[in-house]
Amino acid sequence: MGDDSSYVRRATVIDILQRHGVEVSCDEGGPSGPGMMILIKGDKIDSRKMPDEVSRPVLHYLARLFNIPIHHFYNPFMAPMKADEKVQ
Amino acid sequence: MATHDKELKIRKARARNSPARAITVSAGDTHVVGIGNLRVAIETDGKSWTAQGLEIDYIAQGADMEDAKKQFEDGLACVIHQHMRIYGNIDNLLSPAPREVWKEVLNPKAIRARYSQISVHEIIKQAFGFEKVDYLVLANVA
Repeated sequence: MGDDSSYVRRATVIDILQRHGVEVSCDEGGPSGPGMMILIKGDKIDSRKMPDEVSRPVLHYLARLFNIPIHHFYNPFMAPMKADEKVQ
Repeated sequence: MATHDKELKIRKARARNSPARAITVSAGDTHVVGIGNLRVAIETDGKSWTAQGLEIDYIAQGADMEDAKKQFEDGLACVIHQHMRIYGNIDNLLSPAPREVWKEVLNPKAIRARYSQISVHEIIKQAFGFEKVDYLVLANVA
């Protein structure tokens, strides 16, 4: 059985992607139907229906595609802040 | 009477260090992309299924094997669509999976079942025309 601790919730994954400058948008009218997300950073493009819990292999793929340290997905506090985020 | 004044552009590409090939045919804003010899490794950790492209580094997650295949085909079709929309080609997409993925697949004990799927998902068939997807189901080594 898959280890639950190796899965990361969708909201956290999207947050980490955005913190690393990935533009996240939805492609509701695209050829692959509703729920498809478009992820773009520089010349790197990804598209997928993001499940509620994202598995380790997918996280590794996103990490290498967008050059994100894999541990940021598991330790979000280590990820950089968003540009509009203020330090308390 | 309609005139066909759009220039037809045909472009062939091959993934680095792999037999995967792609051909893009463009006429104006219309693009058709065909990919051949694409192999996809499928495995499960017991909770979800993962489909990882070998000649093209793309991965998808599904609730079961069929869902993983569908998510792979839908997702890759959308990535191709975005590449064509933004760049007019899929050159940036043509890079193989990393070494550790190949290492696992090349293990003779890893492959449990192998089958090709020629009748791929309808959206891809219509929009992009995949030639063939060769699925390699990996044994659960956990």
